[in-house]
Amino acid sequence: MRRRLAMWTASHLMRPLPGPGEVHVWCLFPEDITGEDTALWKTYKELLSPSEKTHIAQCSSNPKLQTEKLLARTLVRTTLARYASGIVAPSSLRFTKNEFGKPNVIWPVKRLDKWRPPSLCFNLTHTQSLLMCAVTQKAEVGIDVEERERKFTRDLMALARRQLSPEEADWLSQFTDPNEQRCQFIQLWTLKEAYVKALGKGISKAPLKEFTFTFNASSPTVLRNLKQAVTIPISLSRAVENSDDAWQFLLLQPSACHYASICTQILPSSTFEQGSLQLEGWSDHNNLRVQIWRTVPLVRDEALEGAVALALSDPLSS
Amino acid sequence: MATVQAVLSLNAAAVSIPCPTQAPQQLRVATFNGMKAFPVLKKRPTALALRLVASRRPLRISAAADPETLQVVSSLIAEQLAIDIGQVKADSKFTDLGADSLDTVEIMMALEEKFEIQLDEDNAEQIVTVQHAADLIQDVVAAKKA
Repeated sequence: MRRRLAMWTASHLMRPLPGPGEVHVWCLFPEDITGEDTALWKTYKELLSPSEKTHIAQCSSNPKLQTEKLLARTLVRTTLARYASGIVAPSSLRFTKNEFGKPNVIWPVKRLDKWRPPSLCFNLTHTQSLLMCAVTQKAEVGIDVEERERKFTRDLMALARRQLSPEEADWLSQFTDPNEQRCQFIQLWTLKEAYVKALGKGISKAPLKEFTFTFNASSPTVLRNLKQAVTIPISLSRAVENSDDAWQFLLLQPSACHYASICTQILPSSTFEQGSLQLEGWSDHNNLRVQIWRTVPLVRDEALEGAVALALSDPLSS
Repeated sequence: MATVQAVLSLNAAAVSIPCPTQAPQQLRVATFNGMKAFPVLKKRPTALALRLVASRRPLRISAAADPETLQVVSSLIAEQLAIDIGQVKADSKFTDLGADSLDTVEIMMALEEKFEIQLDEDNAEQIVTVQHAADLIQDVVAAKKA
């Protein structure tokens, strides 16, 4: 345990804060951690709060689910602690939820010399094969991931009619290949979920059927270092609270087997004290910059190879 | 999401002695903090009294779905999530069983199809546990017959 804590303060695991218009995405693939690394699993368990441990113990009849929940808590704790310059240990963070279930972090240290806890927004999503945590500074963020090969037990078009807007369902019905139709449905679903999670006001404030994502191939947008993406205009037929907020969406494939969507608020640059950063190698088109890592918490981080951006929206007011 | 605990006050007569010949009770709407909960049907006293005896927990005054409904709901959920039915308890939360939002929607659709009912989105959103789902199903089915 001491060895791990010493690693914790190792500088290569710390990160500078996300800048304006920047989203950091941390991806954890459970396949990267072997079952034999019992010391690592033990360390992860020790990061958890008593209530988290109890909660996980309750699903003892479902080991895969237990693992997923354990890794989810590990990912969010270690991710947030990265941005605290080694001052805060992952196990010392506490979490609360707002009335709609959106999580928030409470830092144990309020000040240390000149250091103050950063104003981080974060969101977590997971499937059994991939867990992702998105982090921004001050801008609300939502993220959702689904497996491409996810099995549906219901008829897909019935699901689409029920959950998507009429325009989206009509668009989906045009696909004749069931595989492609399923993939498109999953993409739309992750976009919607990311939006609802970013808003953090629950499903009732942003009913899924009342806003529409459309894919417009007429003006492709290029993101450097990621493949060519198409622009997705988003129209909202119903005003939601804070309708002067601007939101931006990125649809991506973090791996060949997954679709994920990220939704983030575009804040005026006056929100930030410094000027906006220019990062090497990343386009600042539409002011959205994304950095994605593949991580084994407390062990290593590397750039996520093979992530593909599928679509990016123009920043639009909701 | 606020958990709605419907606190009803049963009148003493219903709780005391099982009485199979008692007339069906009326639909009552429970409220909690001024928010309307989904309608709760008072159970036939026989079933309720038996449940009270069997339960080791303090008296939870919410009308429960009958065991058959709970069984059907549980097995549908187990099938949807591809888990063993033994893992599906009445007080299991959907999220604790590994259901994400898409699973929950598919479960709702399966239940609607099985019981030939329509579930209101507002009600569906308040479902947290398997028991909630079974209770809601039973209410909607009863309301449909009424």
